Amino acid sequence: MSQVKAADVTTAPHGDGHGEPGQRWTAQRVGALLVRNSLVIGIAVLLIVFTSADSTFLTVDVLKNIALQSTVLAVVAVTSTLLVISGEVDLSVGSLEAVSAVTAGYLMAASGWGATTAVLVGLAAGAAAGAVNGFLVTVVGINSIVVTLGMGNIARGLTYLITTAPVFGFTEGFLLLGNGTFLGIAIPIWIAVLVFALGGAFLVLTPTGRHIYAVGMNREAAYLAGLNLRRIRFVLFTLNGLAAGLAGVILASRLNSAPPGTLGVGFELQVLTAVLLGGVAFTGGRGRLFGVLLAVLFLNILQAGLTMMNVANAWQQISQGVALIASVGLDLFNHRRGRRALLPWGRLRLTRNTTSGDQEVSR
Amino acid sequence: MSFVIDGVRKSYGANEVLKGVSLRCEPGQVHALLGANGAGKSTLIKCLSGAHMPDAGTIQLDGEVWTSLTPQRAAEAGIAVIYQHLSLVASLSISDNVFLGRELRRGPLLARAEQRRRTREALSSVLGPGHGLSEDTIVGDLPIASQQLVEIVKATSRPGIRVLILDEPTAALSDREAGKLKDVVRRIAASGVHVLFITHILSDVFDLCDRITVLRDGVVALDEPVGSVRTEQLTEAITGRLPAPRRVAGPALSRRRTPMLTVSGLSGERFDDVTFTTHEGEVVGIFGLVGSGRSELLETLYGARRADAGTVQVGGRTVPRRSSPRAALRAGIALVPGDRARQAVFPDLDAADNVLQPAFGQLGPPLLRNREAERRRFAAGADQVRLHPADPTLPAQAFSGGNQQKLVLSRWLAAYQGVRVLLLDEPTQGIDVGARADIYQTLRSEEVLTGRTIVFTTSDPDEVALLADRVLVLVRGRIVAELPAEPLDRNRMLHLSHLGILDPVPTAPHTEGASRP
Repeated sequence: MSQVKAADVTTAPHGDGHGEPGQRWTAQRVGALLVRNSLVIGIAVLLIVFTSADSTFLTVDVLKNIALQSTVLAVVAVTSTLLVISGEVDLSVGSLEAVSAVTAGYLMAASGWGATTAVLVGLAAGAAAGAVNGFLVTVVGINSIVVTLGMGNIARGLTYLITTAPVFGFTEGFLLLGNGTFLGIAIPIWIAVLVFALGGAFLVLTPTGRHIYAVGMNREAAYLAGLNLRRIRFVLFTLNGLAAGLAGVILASRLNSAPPGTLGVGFELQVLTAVLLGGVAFTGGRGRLFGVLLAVLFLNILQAGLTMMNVANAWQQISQGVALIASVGLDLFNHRRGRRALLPWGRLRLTRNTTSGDQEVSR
Repeated sequence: MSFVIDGVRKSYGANEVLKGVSLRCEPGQVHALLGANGAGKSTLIKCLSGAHMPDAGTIQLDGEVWTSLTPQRAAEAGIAVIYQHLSLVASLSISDNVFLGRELRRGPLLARAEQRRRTREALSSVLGPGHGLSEDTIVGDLPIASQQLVEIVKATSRPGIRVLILDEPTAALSDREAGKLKDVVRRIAASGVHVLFITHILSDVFDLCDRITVLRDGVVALDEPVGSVRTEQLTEAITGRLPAPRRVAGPALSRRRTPMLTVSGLSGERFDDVTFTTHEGEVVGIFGLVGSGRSELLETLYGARRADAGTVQVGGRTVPRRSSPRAALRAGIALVPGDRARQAVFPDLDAADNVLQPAFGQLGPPLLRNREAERRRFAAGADQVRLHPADPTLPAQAFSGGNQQKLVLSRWLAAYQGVRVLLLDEPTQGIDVGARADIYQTLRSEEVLTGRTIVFTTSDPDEVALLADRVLVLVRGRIVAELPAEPLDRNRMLHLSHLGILDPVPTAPHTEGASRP
């Protein structure tokens, strides 16, 4: 109503530890600001470090190349972001990539299909596998980590059933998908930008985009608010499979090969790292697509820089693992701040108190 | 040698919940602690169990004095609390539960035979002969009543137990089970343990207890030996001698007496053969205590729980038996759940997202949102429920409890279209007086009641008097009486619900379309 005063708004929160004006408050605010923009800062630091190591790092060509390298990860990170916000996770995307790539590649190289139909069938294979994930999670009710780990193995095995040898010898049209340019910019970059735009529009402009947050934040409340939990999550799993398929055909086109045994291996952890580093809560309900875009760029700049500096593969892999764990640690730290419980035991005490409070409230 | 609480105070922020509570328990006695919701009972227990620290006052036990306790110190002092939600591990046996966390060892190995032997002894010494429990039974296979006994055995078999606190132990039990529990509690008290027995049920007090303390608004309202207290004195101490509260003016609806919600023979988890009808423009209260089945009844009407038998009709059309909240909503039934934090609010989402969740899909063209319509709906709803502050961008957790409840209310009243039956489970539990008045005002407004009927549950007599047109008294899952709410015979209502089926109850008006005065 009209006479809302600023004071009302600041006194409304209760017991969350805010509201002390003065120096400490400002220091906290600065800290929060740093944490919130840590990815932008991180990207800047990486660029400065790598450029000072090698002045050719910060050139248009290198940056374009980093963007191109980012596309496969970016495409799947979009749909996986939606999925993680809804409180689920898909660890089969690497294998789904392979299924789609090998299917499309085999149809072209061995069966002589045209590029368009082969790609469409490949995408359909990815989407179908995603739909099976969705069915098992939402209708049968199996935990999504278990389902998608299993599906990862199944899908990988299926690629071997199609062919054991790497598929190559694609049509010209297919190679354009990964290697062509449009208006001077690589086609995969256009695709990734389009997928990002679609993902953002989905989150902001559609009812389901709003429901996703509710489902991830408080599933029981979402159920009691009449949301269709099954349909929402089923759609997200299917879209995630479709996106993995798209990433797979792009990758096959760029590599001019679809090796069933190696394509997309370990990809699911890269996706998860990007999503979590981008600020999406692993427990669901919280996250923004833009943060994930920054995280994708951060990870690819890191990898390009380390490669440029000839850092051993071992260290690159270790840095990936550190990034994954650190992303969640950072999120935890960020959220403890607000509750003035920086120390782990402080947080433990907090949790126990709320639990006993629940006991009182619930019947 | 006694257990003394002296001048204990506790505030949460500006809200003072305990304003200097003192009571004295003698060993071998069962001491009843009564009080309405929000009187401070739970907070007091938390101070005694060490879950919370009191701001002032002392806790004394056999000459030792504490100003605050931690869970560990409370356990060392021999204070044990048994909550309604039991802390047993369902997949373990009784003896494994009894020794959980203090397992007996022989060298590096578990001395299981010894644990079983001692559990067997504890079972027969605490529960008496003929208890029928085996130390090897898996706890999850036992009925709730027996699990509760196991919890008591677990607590009292710890060495050095001196105080046993039971938090509404009989709420979920049948009369026979409650009788058995009381025997056990008597035996424990007789062994010299101080027993503090928290309850809502007056028959428990008169059957079992030696002394009564009633809390009201954080102070002791009554403290007497049981023999010298009459029922009326007790109910008055619990509810206070308030001036008859002013009822919110009802709408000037020409009640068309159209039946809107017809429930017949509905049975489900914790309630049985419930039959009633409500009409357009009518507000019906269901008065029931914790454990009466009130939440289960509403959640079943809303399709969130399965009904075992019976039918539900809205405006003459039957709601499908295999229901879900979505199906119930299509039929025009909506629920404001009893546990706001767990069942209704999305804490990090902003107010608009909280209110509009079910409405997003109703407002735009297929698969798209209509943000202008959303903005209007939110504003209309905020106005209707007097949301404060009426800011759609503020996260839900930044609102007070009362205003969070208004968000949920607004979800069904203004945002989602097509609600004809609004169910509310304890609509003002834990809500401040101002927001409470706003909610009553909203619910009884012409705007809300046109084309709708409201059914709410409560354990607060004032709420019935302020909000309802008539009231159904629910005791252990059965509707035992229907009373007019204006004028409301509080004593009769409290009497019925507290004494329940121990009393000869006038035949309940179970027939459909039961007469309204």
